[in-house]
Amino acid sequence: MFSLALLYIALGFAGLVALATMILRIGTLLGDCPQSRATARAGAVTIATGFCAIGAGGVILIGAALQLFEHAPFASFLGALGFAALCLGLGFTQAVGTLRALMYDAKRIAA
Amino acid sequence: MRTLITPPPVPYPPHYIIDPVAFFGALIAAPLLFTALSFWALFIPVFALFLGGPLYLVIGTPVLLWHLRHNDGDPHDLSFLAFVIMVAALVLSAPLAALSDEDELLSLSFGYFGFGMIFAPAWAYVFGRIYQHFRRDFYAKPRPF
Repeated sequence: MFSLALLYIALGFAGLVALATMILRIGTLLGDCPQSRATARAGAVTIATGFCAIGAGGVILIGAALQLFEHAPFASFLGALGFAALCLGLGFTQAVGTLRALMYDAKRIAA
Repeated sequence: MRTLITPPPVPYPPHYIIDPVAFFGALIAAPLLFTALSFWALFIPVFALFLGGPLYLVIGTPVLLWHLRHNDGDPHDLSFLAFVIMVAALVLSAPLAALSDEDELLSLSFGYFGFGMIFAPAWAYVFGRIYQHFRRDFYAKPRPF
């Protein structure tokens, strides 16, 4: 059970870091345009920071449920990992949507 | 296939980005606040909180996420949506009860969703009030995506 919990934490945080990196990369790509560079980069860093904090909290909270299903360790491990991936994916979608909205508003102000 | 790839007509329907902090704050606070304000009514709201809370989180969260993506989150709309969900759940439970040959299932679902028709709209209304109050201006603006 302990090794599965460690594996869950490693995979959960790896997913979190991968998605946060993707948010920063999307921000960098959006920042290629000189007019929106500052907005895109500052927005991406802010959103990625919030995503990391909320995502880490979510991964840890879901991980705490592993202890409740000790009689079925592998099923609970897969269930927790799947649920964490689902939540992180939803959070990523939300983060990219917020970044997109930020760029949309900046474009409208500039126009 | 054509209907799948054809974009919706311009102007695009407005979409809203959900404020995650206000959403989860309201999601947790709404049933607790309603129970705190109405527990004197024979303690029924307290039982409703324990019985209906898990269903509220499991069904309410995705429904609210979907609804708030397309709507402003007016408390009256949310209240009506919760009532419709409870009616739909009751209607769906009737054939399930008939198929499973469990006599008690129908009466249980009538009791459960009957109380749900009172508490779900009330919780949703309080949720809407809290969400709109704490939602930041950035998330209150409709956008075309």
